[in-house]
Amino acid sequence: MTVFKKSILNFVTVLFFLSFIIQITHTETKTNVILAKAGSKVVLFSDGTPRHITLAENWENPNKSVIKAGTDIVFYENGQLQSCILAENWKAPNGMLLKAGTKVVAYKNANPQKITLAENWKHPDGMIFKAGTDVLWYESGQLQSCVLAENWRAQNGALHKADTKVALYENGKIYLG
Amino acid sequence: MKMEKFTLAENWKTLEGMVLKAGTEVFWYDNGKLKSFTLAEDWQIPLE
Repeated sequence: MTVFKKSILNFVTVLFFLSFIIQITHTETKTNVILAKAGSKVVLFSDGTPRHITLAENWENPNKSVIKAGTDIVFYENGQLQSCILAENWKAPNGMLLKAGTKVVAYKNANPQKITLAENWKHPDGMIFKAGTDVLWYESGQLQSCVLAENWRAQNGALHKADTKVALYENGKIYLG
Repeated sequence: MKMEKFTLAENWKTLEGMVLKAGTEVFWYDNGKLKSFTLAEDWQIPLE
């Protein structure tokens, strides 16, 4: 191999590692730091951790959801996010696609409390939740309410029509729909 | 003197690095930690 070819190869290798390092640094910077906006009010917990801030720029949460600049974020004392506004659609671990520009609310135990769907989503029980509507849960993780995209027949044989709201008690029993 | 609330006459840079805005109120906890305030400049909050 000529000296020239070796130089090119070394250059490309260095570029590859540099881009890898920059990528790691970039990701860490975005996920480990929040930029609070000048002119906005900040509320802290008594241990100095943030309770309420307004974002100066989009923030990529460690779970990869992107929170919208100029909107408020509220945290629980344990550091768990309580509420925020999504800047982009975000696919949750269970496959639900959450809609950009909508508010996400979570419980202290990290279970979701309220989200808005960007697309229809099929629940393990067979219900299809309608895109653009809100889904609510209890703190235990039990579904609280949703809007059906299609007709759905419950286990007791009752037919629930599309575009209607289904609401459940925490024990899973349906009381509306 | 234990402080609970006061209004800043000028911007104030805290030990934590944030700059608090002149003319705004600052609230404190009993333990001496800052409770709420208004930022004069963007503030980078490190997360653990």
